[in-house]
Amino acid sequence: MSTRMIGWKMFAAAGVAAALVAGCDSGATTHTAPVSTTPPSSTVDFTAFATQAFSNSANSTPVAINNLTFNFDSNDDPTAFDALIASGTF
Amino acid sequence: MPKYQYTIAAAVLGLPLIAFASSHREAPNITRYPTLDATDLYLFNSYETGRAGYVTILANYIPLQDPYGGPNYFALDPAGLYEIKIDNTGDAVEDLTFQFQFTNTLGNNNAGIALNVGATGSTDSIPIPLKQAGTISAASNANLNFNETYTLTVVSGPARSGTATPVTNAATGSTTFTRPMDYVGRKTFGSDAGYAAYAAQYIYTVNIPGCSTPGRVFVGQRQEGFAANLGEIFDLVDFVPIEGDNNPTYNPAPAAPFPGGITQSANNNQLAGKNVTTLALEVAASCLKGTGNGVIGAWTNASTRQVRIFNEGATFAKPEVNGGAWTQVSRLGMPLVNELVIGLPDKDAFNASAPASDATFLNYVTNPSLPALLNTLFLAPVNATLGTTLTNLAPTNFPRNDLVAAFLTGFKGLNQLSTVTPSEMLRLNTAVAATPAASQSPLGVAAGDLAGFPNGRRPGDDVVDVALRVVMGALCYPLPIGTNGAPTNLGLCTPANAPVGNVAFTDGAPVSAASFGTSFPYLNNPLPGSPLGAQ
Repeated sequence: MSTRMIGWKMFAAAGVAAALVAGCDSGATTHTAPVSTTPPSSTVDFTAFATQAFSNSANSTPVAINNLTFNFDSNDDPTAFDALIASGTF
Repeated sequence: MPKYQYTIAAAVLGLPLIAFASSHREAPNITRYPTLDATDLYLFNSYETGRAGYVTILANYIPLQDPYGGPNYFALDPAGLYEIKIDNTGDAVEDLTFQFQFTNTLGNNNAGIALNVGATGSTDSIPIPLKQAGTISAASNANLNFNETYTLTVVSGPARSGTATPVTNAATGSTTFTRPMDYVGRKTFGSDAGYAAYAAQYIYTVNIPGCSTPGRVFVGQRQEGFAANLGEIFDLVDFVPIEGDNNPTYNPAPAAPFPGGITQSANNNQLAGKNVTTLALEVAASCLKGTGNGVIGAWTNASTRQVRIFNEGATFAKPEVNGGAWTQVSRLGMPLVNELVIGLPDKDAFNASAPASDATFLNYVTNPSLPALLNTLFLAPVNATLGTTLTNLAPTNFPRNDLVAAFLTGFKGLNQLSTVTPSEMLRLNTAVAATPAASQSPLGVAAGDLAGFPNGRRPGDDVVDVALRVVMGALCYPLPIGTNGAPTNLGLCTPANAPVGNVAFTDGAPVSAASFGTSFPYLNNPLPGSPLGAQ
């Protein structure tokens, strides 16, 4: 990993590093719940979801999130989005 | 004027009414993204001399700009997509979309202008902290340390799936346009005239794909044109909101001035010291109206990509990365809808919605809560003051088809598209000749000026007063829109439905065409950030 890449590490430890513009209505419950290493199967991993959504084309339909519940297992992983930071554009 | 109409004003004093700020920070979520916050949309047949047959569209963004807001001032969002959409068939789906996207670069080949600082013989090149390194003029912008450019694309068909083609500079063929720097102050630009000359050179004549007639485009800071008694309105309406003077414009016959009512004064406009950022287009009407009946509907949206990842190691070039689908966060067509009509729980949803799905919000129009709120607040004080037994102040015609016409369908024979799909947008009949600036009425159609609001919207239309009167039932009374101004009953409701529908409600903040320029882009040059007191 280059020095530049290291410099682009995420805010994950401080909370949600990636912001879904459309909101996250169920996230508050997850934030306040005790940390669990085995989240319910009905929840969606935020990092994977955001990574997938990030790759969608600009002219695609935004992903609906009102009925999703996220888990944030990457909150303590500062490298979770490094690949997107390196390849993404402003 | 019936006695009870006078007394309503007295009862209003000190009681909550409604917050009017056309679309400035009107919904909870958009307050978090001011650079994407659409504040006003204007749509009118151009009244500049020699421009008959053109339509002007002005979409304002970034509300409540203090002119002295340096050192970074008010750039648009380079991660945003700003759109002006046109429906010319009446299906509530855009047929044409004008898309603006912005790019920021630093001076000195994007390294930033630097000065050599240090002892003689051992200086370091140190980038300056400002967006300008010296004076700027129409003749030279070499001292600009921050350059904002944009592309303009026209999409034929739905915005996300239609055919996109760049708009080009008619003189050079370039697809890149420059937005002038905000008006930092008179020392930087020499004078107000100096800034005006500097900014004017960025009004472009453009070739628009699919349109044989060139148009014009300008993006830049302007003086806020929306006028409202904002602070006092928010402060539980700390004035009597009925015309208190014998003002023929704001208190037309048969109404009379109300003793103690607010009088028109520029001092009541608390936005007078603010600037805004305008995306301005002028397009031949023939290129907008398609195969429809000559009426067009317009609205503006701002979107950003669905996923934003903040960069812990932020740089000027990459403070974040953005990906995924364009996701809409701002919507504006008719003024005041998201403020006056849509309930707080749904304001963010409205900003994310499209006209084609407006059935979701229909109840807000057919059964509006605002008049009911006013009735709750004012009925008892009115009756107590008058000694009357009025049973209702709010209009009683349900569903409120007068508001459906005003906000969702347009008026048949005036600004209704050939196919009627109830949906919120600003509708303009391009066949109605523009009224010269000197002859325009701020009350538009309500005062017999058919080229004004709600047949489109011009900078000089007082939409606050018109909207307030309409929501309280003005359309239940005859309007002077017949031959030679003859009173005409719209047939949407009756005076019996709206006991205060002919009260001259006003916020006392006047606006008129005389307040603005008479040529594209019409809105005034911005106020300078300095010297102190120049705002």
